[in-house]
Amino acid sequence: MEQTKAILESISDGVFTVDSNWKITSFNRAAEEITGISREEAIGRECSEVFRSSMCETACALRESMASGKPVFYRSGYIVDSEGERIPVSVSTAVLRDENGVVLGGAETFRDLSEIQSLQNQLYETYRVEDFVSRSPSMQKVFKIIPAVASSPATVLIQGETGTGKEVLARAIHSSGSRSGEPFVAVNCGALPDTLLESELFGYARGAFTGAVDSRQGKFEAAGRGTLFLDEIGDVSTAMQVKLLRVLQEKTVTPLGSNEEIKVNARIICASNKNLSQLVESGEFRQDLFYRINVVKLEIPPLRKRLEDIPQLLEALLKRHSFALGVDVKDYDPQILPLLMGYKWPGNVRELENFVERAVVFSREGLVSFSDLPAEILPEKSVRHSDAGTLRSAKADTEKQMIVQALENNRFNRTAAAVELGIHKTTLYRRIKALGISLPNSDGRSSNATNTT
Amino acid sequence: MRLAITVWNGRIAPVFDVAGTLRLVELSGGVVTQDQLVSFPGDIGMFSRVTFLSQQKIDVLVCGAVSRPVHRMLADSGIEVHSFVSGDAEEVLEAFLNGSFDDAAYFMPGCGRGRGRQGRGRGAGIGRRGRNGGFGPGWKEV
Repeated sequence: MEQTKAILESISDGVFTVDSNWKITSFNRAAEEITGISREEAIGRECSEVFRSSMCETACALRESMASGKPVFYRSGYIVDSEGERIPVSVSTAVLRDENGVVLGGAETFRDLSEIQSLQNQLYETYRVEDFVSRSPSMQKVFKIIPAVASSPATVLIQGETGTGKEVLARAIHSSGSRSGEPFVAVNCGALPDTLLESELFGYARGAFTGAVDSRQGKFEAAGRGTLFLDEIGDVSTAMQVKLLRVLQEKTVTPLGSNEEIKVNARIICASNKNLSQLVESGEFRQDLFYRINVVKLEIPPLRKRLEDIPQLLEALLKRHSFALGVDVKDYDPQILPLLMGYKWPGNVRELENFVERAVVFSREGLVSFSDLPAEILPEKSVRHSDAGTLRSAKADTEKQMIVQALENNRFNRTAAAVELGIHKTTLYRRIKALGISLPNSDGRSSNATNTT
Repeated sequence: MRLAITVWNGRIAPVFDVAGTLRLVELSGGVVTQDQLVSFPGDIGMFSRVTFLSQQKIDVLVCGAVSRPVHRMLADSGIEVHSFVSGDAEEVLEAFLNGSFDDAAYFMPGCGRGRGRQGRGRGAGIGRRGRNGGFGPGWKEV
């Protein structure tokens, strides 16, 4: 007995026991340290009033153990200490019985996860700006210049395929700068016909047209000293382009039916899923407007070109949607990860997010598994076969795809491809050989050399 | 005056941040004119939780543990907060109604005024009340 007590006192996990009326009967040294409550104060009190965890009311592990007679392991939540700090914890519980098997109460062990979480956060902060998460080298370059971009008033052009997160990046720029306390106003220029877009952007005076019984503020004015985000700028008509150019040059707008000019103070961020340079070449986009908005250009690569972001995005999105929907889905079945990594994600992060949200709703037993995958993610061969050989070949296929993609991204420069994949150059050579990947005769270095001579 | 008490199993709910039920009591001239149980609407965020109390026109809140950012939001909403209170909800309400309620008599373990924290070497425990948003001796504003 003394030996057990000495062990309980020496371990770093908090341990307490309760009787069948949920009153604390023992409280070890680590429990005192983590909660900030002395054992004299804790013993004899209701466990929920001592432990004060986010799980007490609806997800008490101890209650579950006492009801089922089975232990519960590693349930996570937080406790609120006497200073109002939320301390993340992981708890495990078991039933206490006497020698005749009669239930005496329960035991709970808990671990302070603050340090682990803080280290995780530090790691994640490197790979995120506000809500934009990425560890790909191309996005890391963008992240590095965001503070400078955010603090300047320069117009920004964000280019990227649909669903890559252009608005998320625009919001990150807005939130990182001195305008963060001002409005962020977003307008999808591609969704509105000219007349509506004009009144939406510039506003109108009372009586400007039939039905204009009152005046209405335009988005340029509504953005005030904040940010106006003009999405799908490549879709506006040439007539509208002229009007936008005038506003950007003169920094004033005139509401429809009004003679009064209103000064534009908002910072403008434009975005397009089309290549504006090509539209300029084909005559569909005005060159002068392009130069006016292309002051700082940020390119978001499609998800298929930054596969290394998928695991972190999957984790972040799972956390976000599990929390939002109030369900307890904790992880993905490791077997489905190669399939998720191998899929092309034509709808980019938006498609990935839709998948996660749907999987969280439908998943069973807290794990996103094979049965939650939509048909388009399942490659034909993995539907046809289900033996262990197929899993191995699916992994090899995914690995091959990732390596080929990285090589293509870096014009077959092996060293750069290895950096993008986060592996050593010699490992890359070994995998290229093992997977039978054929390479062109020249690599990135030799083609660069050719270009410069 | 409208008083709200977070309740769970007949006692003050342990953590306001995740509490599911409120007991809403309206007092007029020392007489209870309304007494009902209200559920927080679903799994809502912290901001919505405080907004919900404001919408219910709550003047005074009696609750269990509350995290610091939420306490600040509550105080900023002009709600008088008696937090880290534990005990039988009926008894606490009775004490409140007959004017004998004293936070110190109902503090949760480890939250007594002037008590030092064990082990982590942080400041004193807490006890706070009032509309001015001021924290008790244990709060360190950051």
